[in-house]
Amino acid sequence: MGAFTWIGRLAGLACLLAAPVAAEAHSLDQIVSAKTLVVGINPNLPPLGSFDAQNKIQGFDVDIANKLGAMLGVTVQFVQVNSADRVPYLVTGKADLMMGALTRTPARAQVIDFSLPIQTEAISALVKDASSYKTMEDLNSSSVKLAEVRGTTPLDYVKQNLPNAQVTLYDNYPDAVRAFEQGRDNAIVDVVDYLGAYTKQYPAKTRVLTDKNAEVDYDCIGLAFGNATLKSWLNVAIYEIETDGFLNDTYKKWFGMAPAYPIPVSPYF
Amino acid sequence: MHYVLHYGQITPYLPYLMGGMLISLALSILSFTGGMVIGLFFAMLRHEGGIPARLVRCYVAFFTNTPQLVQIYVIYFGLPDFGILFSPFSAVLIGMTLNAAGYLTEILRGGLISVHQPELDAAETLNMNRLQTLRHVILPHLFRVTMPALTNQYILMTLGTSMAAIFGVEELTGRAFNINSTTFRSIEIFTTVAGLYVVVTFIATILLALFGRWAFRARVPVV
Repeated sequence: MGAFTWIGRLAGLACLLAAPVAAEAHSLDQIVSAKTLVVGINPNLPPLGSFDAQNKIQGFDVDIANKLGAMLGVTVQFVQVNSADRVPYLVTGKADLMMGALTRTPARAQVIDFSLPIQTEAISALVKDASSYKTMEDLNSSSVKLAEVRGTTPLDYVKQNLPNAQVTLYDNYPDAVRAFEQGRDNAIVDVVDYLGAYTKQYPAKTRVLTDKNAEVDYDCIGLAFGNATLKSWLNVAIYEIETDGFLNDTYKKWFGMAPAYPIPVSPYF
Repeated sequence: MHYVLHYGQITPYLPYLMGGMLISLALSILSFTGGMVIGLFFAMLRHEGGIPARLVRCYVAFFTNTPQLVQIYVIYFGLPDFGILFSPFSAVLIGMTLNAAGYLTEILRGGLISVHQPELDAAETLNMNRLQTLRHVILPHLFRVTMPALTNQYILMTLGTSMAAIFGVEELTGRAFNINSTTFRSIEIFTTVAGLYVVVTFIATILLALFGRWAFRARVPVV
């Protein structure tokens, strides 16, 4: 054995130490003792997450994450993600919790865990409060004009469920909402929760018509697969903020309206 | 780039596109006609001088120095706040007509200036009244001189109808956007649409040139 062998072994050891250790998901105990909860937020998804005038991330997700942090007695550290990053960040342990309208799907559930749902996404219709429309079926009439945005998925829903309605296509959401508010069109069919930011700028009161057969997507908080301690705590905390009104109030604050499809809350989970 | 062109996916939409073309043509013809009537009236007021001429100058200055898109936005989204609600087609038609009137006023005024004084003197000698002078002396000369500029203006307006798509009018470009949002065959769709515009404006150029030659003996080449 010459000196070179030893040098080689030392170099190998150095490489091992320097190599990025595959990050492990933090258990509840580790989070509490480190006093930091790392939460992934999409800053380009208002009203869930966006940058304010001071370039700080704000939004529905931020408020919920901070509330959870306060309940756990830890500080919340935000990591910015885009939609495609959400699952990989959990798998590699770069975030303890993941937000950003993470819809629970069987495919994702094979690699990450989901909390109880905190938000729903489904197609509904926005009409003026003073109008006579009572149900989604009322909109399926040739006298109804719908303001829709070109190239969006709700158009398929309209084609299938409201084939008799007249559709005017606009280039963007602000234009479609304005046309609706000014009375050019009678309704907007979309995931109308996300239109609250635009409708609140107009004086007319609006109502939401839901479809009882709508396909409802449940958005949850994601966490690493098998992180049972954190998940148990998280579900209890979510039940708490769902029943004490915090979740709903925060939703109204950021979306400008109550959820179109509220989540039925049960103490059993 | 490995993009394979599939014009076959567009052909089922051709009747739909042609329907859009008809709406584009309706917009351009109606707004051009309206613009001509207003423009001729304004050009004469401008030619006469006095306070009406100053008002016309303000009108022309406003409509030729602001983008047509902005003008239609004001009519489409601004006026409803004052209780005036036009349908998408009417709003675009009104906007295009007012805009065209601004440009046509200036084109026709140029024509009016070019009417020779001896011709007007001759009309007076023949004891023509103002209407007869207009009908038999001024207008034939005016159109003969301004025919190429008018044709240009008409072509520009035909192409300008594409902005109606923004206001929910399903004309040629709007329908192209709609097809694009479902098939994503952007290259095929927009080259087809560009071709349709070329065909239509080419036909319009020839027809207007023939009309100018026949009606006003205007010296314009047909092709």
